[in-house]
Amino acid sequence: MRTLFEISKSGLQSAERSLSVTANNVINANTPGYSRQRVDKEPIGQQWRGLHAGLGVNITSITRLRNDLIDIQLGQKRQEMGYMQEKIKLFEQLETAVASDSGGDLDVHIGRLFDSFSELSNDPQDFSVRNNLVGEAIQLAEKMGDMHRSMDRVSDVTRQSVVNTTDKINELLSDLASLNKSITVSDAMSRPDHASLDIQVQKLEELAELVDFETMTSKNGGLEVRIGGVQVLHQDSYRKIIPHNDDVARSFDLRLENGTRVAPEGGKLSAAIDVYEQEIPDMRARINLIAETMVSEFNALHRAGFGLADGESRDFFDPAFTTAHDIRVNQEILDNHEHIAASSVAGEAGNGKVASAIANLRNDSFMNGRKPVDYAVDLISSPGANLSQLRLASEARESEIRMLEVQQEREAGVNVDEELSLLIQYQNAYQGAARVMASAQQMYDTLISLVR
Amino acid sequence: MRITQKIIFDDFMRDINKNRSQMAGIQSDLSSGKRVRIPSQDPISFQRSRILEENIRKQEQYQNNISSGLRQGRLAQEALDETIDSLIEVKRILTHGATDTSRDKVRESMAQEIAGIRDTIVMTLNSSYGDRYLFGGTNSAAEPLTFDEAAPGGVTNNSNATAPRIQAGDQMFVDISITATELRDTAAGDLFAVIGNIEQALRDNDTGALNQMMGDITETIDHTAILASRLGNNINRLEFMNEQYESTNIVLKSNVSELVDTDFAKAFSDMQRTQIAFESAMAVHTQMIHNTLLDYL
Repeated sequence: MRTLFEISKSGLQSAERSLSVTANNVINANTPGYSRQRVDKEPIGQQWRGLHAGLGVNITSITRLRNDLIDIQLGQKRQEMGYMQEKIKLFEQLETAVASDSGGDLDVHIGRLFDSFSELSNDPQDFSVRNNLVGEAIQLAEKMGDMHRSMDRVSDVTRQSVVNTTDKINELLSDLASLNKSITVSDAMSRPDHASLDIQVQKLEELAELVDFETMTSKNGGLEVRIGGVQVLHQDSYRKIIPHNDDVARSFDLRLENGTRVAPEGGKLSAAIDVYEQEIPDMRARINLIAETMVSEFNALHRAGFGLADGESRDFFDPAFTTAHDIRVNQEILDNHEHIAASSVAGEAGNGKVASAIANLRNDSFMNGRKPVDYAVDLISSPGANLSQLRLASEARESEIRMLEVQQEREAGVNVDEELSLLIQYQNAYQGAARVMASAQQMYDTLISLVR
Repeated sequence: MRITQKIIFDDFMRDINKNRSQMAGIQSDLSSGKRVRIPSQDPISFQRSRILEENIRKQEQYQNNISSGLRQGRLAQEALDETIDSLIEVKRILTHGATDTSRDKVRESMAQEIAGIRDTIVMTLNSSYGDRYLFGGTNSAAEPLTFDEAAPGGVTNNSNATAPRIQAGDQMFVDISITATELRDTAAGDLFAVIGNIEQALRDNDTGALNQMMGDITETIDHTAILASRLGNNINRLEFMNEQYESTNIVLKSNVSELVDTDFAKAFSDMQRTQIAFESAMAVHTQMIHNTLLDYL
């Protein structure tokens, strides 16, 4: 009869445990990275006088339901997504730096300068035309300087982003290392630390957005992380990644403390490095090409002509400054607008041949085989072209991620209704076990009363 | 299949956000009237529209050049017409003076009249547009004609032979005036020399010479008329080109509009479709979240 107490006791314990697991599931229904848990039970029994009799229920383990395969796929997709989103963010800034919807972009400024020269060729003696032309040239030079500075600012932001991302990666690696410690310790006691495992899932999710990596789980449950083939996390120790930056050559070199080079190929980190090392310098080179060819082509024609004041030949742009950053109109012309050379012959005030030759440069394909305005349009729309492709690709990637997340959620997610119905079930089980115990108590009382 | 609350909620948020961003896009398309404002919205249309806009800008500049050319050209044409009138007046006086019946004193006053006409012609040909002397050729900062007794016909020529021109198209230049140099250079010799000779012959009462000069003055009138009609042709050509640009501009502008402007009918119907989806998502979700076992426990 004593077994009745044991059986009901095991029933009470199992119902209580199950209830607390269920309660924990409900409470964590919205916790990121949380995987639902189930109590695994088995019946206990023994041979007794040739019969097999049950002796109650035994809790064998508490299982954490999660599909690791989906997590691996998700990690891959998240890393691609992190790469694209960082690029989108940076290209958005670049687009803002070079293009606007106000219509005052580089192509318009270049076109207007050519217009001014064309206007000058009609009436080279008109001073208002000359004043206007100088105004347009100054605006063009300022626009180029402005674009160049904006690109520099984006470059600075990008550099900072690389540094911040590396810091964040180091922080996550350090968190994962300490998680490894508690996971391996609990594993050794064959009591898996579900909470740490859940946090680990969440940290790995965050890490996947930042950088591409491979993971391996060792026999004792410890996680190993490799970035670009270099081991950065092993058991409870991690290696810090240190970014070395050369802002003149526009390059980044990521190394561990022991000097081993780390070369990430995905995630936010590698996107920022790509933009910093390639996209921005490329755009900068293109706007500098515009400045340089404008200076040389304008000056070559301008030097062959003559202004109103004297027979001297002059440059239109200051030849000492040939980058977008510092392009400027020749000071002599700024001081005296009569020095703008419209005439092909000295002393001929009504001759506009040189002005019209300069105006005709707009039809010349002297910028890398393109006409100046076409080249400028190409430049200002290049971040936008990249953006629109990236946005399409990221939309596709996003829906893939969503599909995988739903798959994982089906496995690991908490359905509150389901848990509530389990709650009722376990509550009933508890009541049942208690009733058994009460019956056993009564049986004892009956037995004892016989003896009295 | 297990569907958790989180799946339902996340899906809802995702769809709602998608609808919202679509509606925001349509709204800004409608309120700005433009479908493509920045390159990322449609890189190809953006580039094409900007290159077309450059063509429009260039054409509009050619139209400006043409307007400026027409203003100058018409002034020059008027001056030439006045010059022809003056030359006809010279011819009329010459015809009178060449007849034997005219008395000496009358010839003297005729000579003075011709000197006055010459001055008028010089004044007419010295007319300017702003700072620019119309008949000075490219040497247009100086008066093309100045009085100097030593010069042929008493008038010095400061103009050169290059007529001022404007650019009316790619590689297309049109002269917008005649130079005084060309005008003076008639088959009968220098224009002012011809007039000067007539004046002198009138003073000298040399009717024989006067009769011979009839051919010369007719020649100068023809010469001027030919130049005036050449200028007239250029003016007509500019006017014609201006009209052509006007019509190509309309085509180009409608091309740009097709590339970047909002198709209002389409935008409105898209708006309605998205709005319906948005509202039903809201309605369904507010119903859905009530369905939980929690309420029955």
